Amino acid sequence: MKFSVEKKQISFGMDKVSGAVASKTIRPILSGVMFKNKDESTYELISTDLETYIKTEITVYNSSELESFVVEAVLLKEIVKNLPEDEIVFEKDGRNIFVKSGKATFKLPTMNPEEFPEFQNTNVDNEITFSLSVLELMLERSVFCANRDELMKHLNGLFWEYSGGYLRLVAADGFRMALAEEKITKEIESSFFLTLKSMTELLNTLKTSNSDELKVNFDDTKVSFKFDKTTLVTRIVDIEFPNYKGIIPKGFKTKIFVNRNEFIQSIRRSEITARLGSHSILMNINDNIIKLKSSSPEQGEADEDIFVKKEGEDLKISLNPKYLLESLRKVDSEEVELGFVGYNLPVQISPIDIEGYFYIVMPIRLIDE
Amino acid sequence: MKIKRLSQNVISKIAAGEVVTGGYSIVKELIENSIDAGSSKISIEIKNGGKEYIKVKDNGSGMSPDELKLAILPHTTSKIEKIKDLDSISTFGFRGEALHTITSVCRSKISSVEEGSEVGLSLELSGMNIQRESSFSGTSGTSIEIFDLLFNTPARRKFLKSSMMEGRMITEVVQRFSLCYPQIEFEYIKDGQKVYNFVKAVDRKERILRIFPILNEEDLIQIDDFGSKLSVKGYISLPRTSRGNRVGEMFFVNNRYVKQNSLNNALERGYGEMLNKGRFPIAILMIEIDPEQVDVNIHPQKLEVKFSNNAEINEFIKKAVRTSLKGSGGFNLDISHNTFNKTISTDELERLSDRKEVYPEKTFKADNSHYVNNQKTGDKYNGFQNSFSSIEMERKIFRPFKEEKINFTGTYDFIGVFGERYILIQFEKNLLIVDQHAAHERILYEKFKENKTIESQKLLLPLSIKMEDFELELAKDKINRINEIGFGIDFDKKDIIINAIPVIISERYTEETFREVIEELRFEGIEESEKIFKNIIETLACKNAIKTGDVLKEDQARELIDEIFEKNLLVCPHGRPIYMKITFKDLDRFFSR
Ligand SMILES: Nc1ncnc2c1ncn2[C@@H]1O[C@H](COP(=O)(O)OP(=O)(O)OP(=O)(O)O)[C@@H](O)[C@H]1O
Ligand SMILES: [Mg+2]
Repeated sequence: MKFSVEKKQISFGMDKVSGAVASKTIRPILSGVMFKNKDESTYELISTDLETYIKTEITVYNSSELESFVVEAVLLKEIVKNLPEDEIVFEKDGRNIFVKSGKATFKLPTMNPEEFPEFQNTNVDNEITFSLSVLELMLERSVFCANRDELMKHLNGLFWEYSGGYLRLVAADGFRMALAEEKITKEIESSFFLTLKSMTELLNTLKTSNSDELKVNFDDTKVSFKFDKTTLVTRIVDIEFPNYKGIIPKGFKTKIFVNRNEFIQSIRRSEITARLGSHSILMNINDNIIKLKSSSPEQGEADEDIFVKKEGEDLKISLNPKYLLESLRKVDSEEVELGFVGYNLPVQISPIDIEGYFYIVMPIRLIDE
Repeated sequence: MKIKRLSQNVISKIAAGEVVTGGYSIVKELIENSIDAGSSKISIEIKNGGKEYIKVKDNGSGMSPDELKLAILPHTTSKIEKIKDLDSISTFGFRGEALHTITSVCRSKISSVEEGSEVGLSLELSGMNIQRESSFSGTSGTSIEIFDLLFNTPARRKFLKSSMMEGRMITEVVQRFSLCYPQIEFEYIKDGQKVYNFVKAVDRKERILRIFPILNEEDLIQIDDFGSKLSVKGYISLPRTSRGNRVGEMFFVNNRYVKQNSLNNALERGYGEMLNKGRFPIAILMIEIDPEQVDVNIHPQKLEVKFSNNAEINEFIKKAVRTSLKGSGGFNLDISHNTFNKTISTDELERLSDRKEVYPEKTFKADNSHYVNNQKTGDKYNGFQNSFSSIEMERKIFRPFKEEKINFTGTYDFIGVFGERYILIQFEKNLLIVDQHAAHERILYEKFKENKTIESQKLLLPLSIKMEDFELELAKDKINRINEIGFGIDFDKKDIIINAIPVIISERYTEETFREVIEELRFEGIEESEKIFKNIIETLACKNAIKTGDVLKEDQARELIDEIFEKNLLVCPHGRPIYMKITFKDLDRFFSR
């Protein structure tokens, strides 16, 4: 068996699939990438950690007696990147494969392709066509709120909901939540939960795309994302996502509108003292001024006034600067809107004039005065 | 010895303390009196959590009518006479206070027949006033009945907990004595129902099985281990039978029940990974220790003791537990003996059974000679040492660094993180090995301590947890404390809904940490509040610190070290060292340069 491939082809291919290569695994075959022979000039590269499967295609030439094989992924990726010439020749001899380019030759052992798990495809038609860059943005806006703790299964990922002509992505940890939504053209009512790990892989893989067309499909157990000649399929996690709608405030007692950048700067200054002492910043909203106050037993206090537009009642509330900042940084309008319901109740942060996403942050408890 | 009033001199030497804090403290005092009187059978009866009725009856040596009238006066005791007697107390009582304090806050009836006599006196009291006295005939022994607990101090009566809580606390007192004294018959009746009827036994196993119904006989492993200064006897459960709280962990030091976190810790470390997070064993451990090595702190309400060498004792217990679990059943002391050359002299043997291996500090005194010393020990006790794992050996060698305090000023060079466990840095001309968990634990602890109130982060999704009835009661009772610690809770029938948690704890451990807090609060009222609070922040720190095995990135590791330097911290809140120092000299010596 023998074939040639352009360095760029295989290098991109390896980049696309490497996200799903299992890193710590007891099944060595999963640390490999599968070269599946499709036709005379095409190989499919497949990787999986059994939760996510990624498949892409590369074009080969000068081929003879093509067959499928599995080779250690990290190693091959590294080698391919460092080869001197544009043409790379693969030649199999027994169990070994020789990778040649210019004067360099590497000999790599292969693993049995029969042992490699079958690629799992979605087999129901719920397909929608979506803008890849829009989905990428939605992911960026939501995924950071997911709980990073793998043991907190029901929050360690992203909730996908198709409902009322919208696709909605929701992520939450114990203290905050992000929601991003976008209109879709098909009438689908369904929802599922995907792990944070697979969502990170998806984001990375989407970034390698050359076109903006993305096809999303799902069945009872898996979801697939297709773009270019690449397919990523990931397993749906069987958990019940908490009722996030119950958390979203139905109305607000107080609303403020504030310049995003100024607000971020002020919070960062207050955070300095907050970091050393308490974990909170006290916001005292009084007419058109928010007084920010943070204190620590040894480092003293920081006070700062910010001018804002306010609607509704005055309010005092204490917030964790870290959560506030992380959300504010994701907002991409010049002005942001903060909606309050009460001092011990959720705060909603949203951009002004841009629809489709907002954040909810829980406050630090204030004892009644 | 006859009952006498203590002289003013002696009285002033005895720490005064509140004797009656609830029904359980009365039952405890009365049972102690019965045991002091040499009883072989004790019956306890309570109604309505003890608020309505308490009776403790024994078959001990009793009191003559005159003595009885004396016994209820302040500072009257038969157990000591002179100040010197205070140093060698072998009884529970010695203050001559209990009966007086108890009878002055309730209506009561005391009847007693002295040993050798057939006629006894019965006194009916209301507060301190004798309402009626009568003679009766019977066999030797004493019976004390308490009606209307704290009836004449309504302010204090108000502080009693619910009947269920009070009742439960009394049951625990009875359980402890029953477990500690298998040779004494105990009968316990609660609201007309006979809860326990323990016959005289040589061994406490039967009682353990009765008191902890979740245990099967096969689940219990016996521990019987002794060193030169202490011995540990008792039973522990196999890891497969565990509980969600520490109620089943009991320690008795020289027959006194003690509540001491370091002992719980030692026990749990003995189990190590064998128990899942948040699960606790059942363990009844009787620790006997040379009274000189321990300050029992005989203050009536204090359940803590002070050991002159805490670390040694903890290590001993941990090992005893570990070896028993490994051997699952056998006595383990002989394991080390078996490795000896049989020709060893008895003299030598005795010295060896000192089990020096668990007392490393004693083995090496001077910092600069410990290698030499160890060399020596190594030659002599060769067989002995081979039976220890290399880790224990290392700890043994390096333990003496403990005394030395490093003055952290200036900069350090970061070397790396070793084994997801230790951070290695170079400081001055030393290699410092820092335990990541211990270091972080201490930092968190300091943070909690600095901020007098713990901030509380509201939860997006409240967490509902199931708790036992008594735990629910306790949570209701201690709601203010729970708030202070940073938890916010609501009640929903049998569930507790947690809606806010202390800011620095991680979500993952919410339930576990909350359960531990409840567990600690159980002892409030028995222990001082400050002590409880300290224990709780220790727990919060320990639960939420980076664990051994958590992967630290370099900047995280550096941050940790920076804080350790900044605050000059040396030991973790449990007193274990945070770092170990190795000097060039140490290394050169090791490589014989
Ligand atoms: N159940 C009993 N059987 C026989 N004698 C008793 C009994 N209870 C009390 N006494 C006698 O009454 C005395 C006073 O008891 P009390 O409990 O008040 O004091 P104490 O036990 O000496 O000291 P403490 O206050 O530390 O308990 C005792 O010293 C003992 O002689
Ligand atoms: Mg007494």
